[in-house]
Amino acid sequence: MKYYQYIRIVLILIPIIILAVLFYKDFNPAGYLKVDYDFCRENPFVSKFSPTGRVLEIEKIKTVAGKDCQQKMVVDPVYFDVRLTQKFDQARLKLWYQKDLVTPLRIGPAINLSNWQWQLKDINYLLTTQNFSEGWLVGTAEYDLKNIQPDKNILRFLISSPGLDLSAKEIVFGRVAIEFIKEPLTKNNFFERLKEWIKFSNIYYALN
Amino acid sequence: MHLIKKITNDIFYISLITYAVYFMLELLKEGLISNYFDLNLLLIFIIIFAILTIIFYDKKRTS
Repeated sequence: MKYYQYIRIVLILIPIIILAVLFYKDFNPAGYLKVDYDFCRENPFVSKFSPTGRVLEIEKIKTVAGKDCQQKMVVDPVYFDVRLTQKFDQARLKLWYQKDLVTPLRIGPAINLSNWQWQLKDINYLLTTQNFSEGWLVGTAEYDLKNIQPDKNILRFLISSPGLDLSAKEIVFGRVAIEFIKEPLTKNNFFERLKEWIKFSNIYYALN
Repeated sequence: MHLIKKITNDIFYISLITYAVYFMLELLKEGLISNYFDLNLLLIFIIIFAILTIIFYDKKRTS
C-alpha cells in the first residue's frame, strides 16, 4: 500500500503531461506544420475532396508495396479544407497526380472567400515516381499566406481544371502534402505568436 | 486485491475528469486535442474502467 500514493501521482501526471505536449504541438514553436493526406486514412488537418459528383469515390488499389488510394476529379472545380492551428506565412504544396499534358491543373488557397478571390497557381512538374503502382507525377506550388485570412481556422483550397468535364478526361490524385511555414518562436515575437494562436480559438470568434 | 480495486477506481475517475477537460478544451480551441489524439479512444477506456469499477463495487457490497 505504500506505493499507492506514487501510483496515484503517476496516474494524475499522465494526462497533465499529455495535455502539455498537445499544447506545445498546437502552439508550434518551430513554426512548421506538415499535413499529409493520402486518401487511405482520414486526416484531422485535411478534409476530403468535395463536392461529391465532381470527384468520384475514393478507390483503393492493390500495389506491390501494399495498398494505395486515389480519387478522380471529373468536373471542375473541386475543394478541400485545411484546418490550421494558427496563421502561417507560407505554404508549399506537393501533389501526386495523374493527367495528360494538355489538361490544365491549378490549385490555390482562398484569399477572400466572400469576394471569391483565390491564389491559383499552376502545379510545377517536379518528377515522376515509381514508388506507387503506376507511377505518379509529382508537382509543387508555393503560396504566400501573409495576406490571407482563413475562414475561422479553415483554409480552403480550390483545384481548378477548366473544361475538364467537356473534354471527358479526368485527373487522378494520389496524395497531397502541404508544408506551412512561419517564423519560429523567439523572445521578441512570443506575445505576437500567443495573440495569433488565441485568435484561432472559438472564444475569440464568439467575442468578435 | 484491495489495491487493484482502488487503482481501478482512480483510473476511472481520473480518465473521466481528463475526458471532460479535454472535451472542453476542444470546444474552446478546435483541433487542440482532436488533431493529435482521438477522444473516442479515451471514451472506450472510460467505459472499460467504469465496468470494472461497477464489478468491484458490487462485489464489495455483496460481501
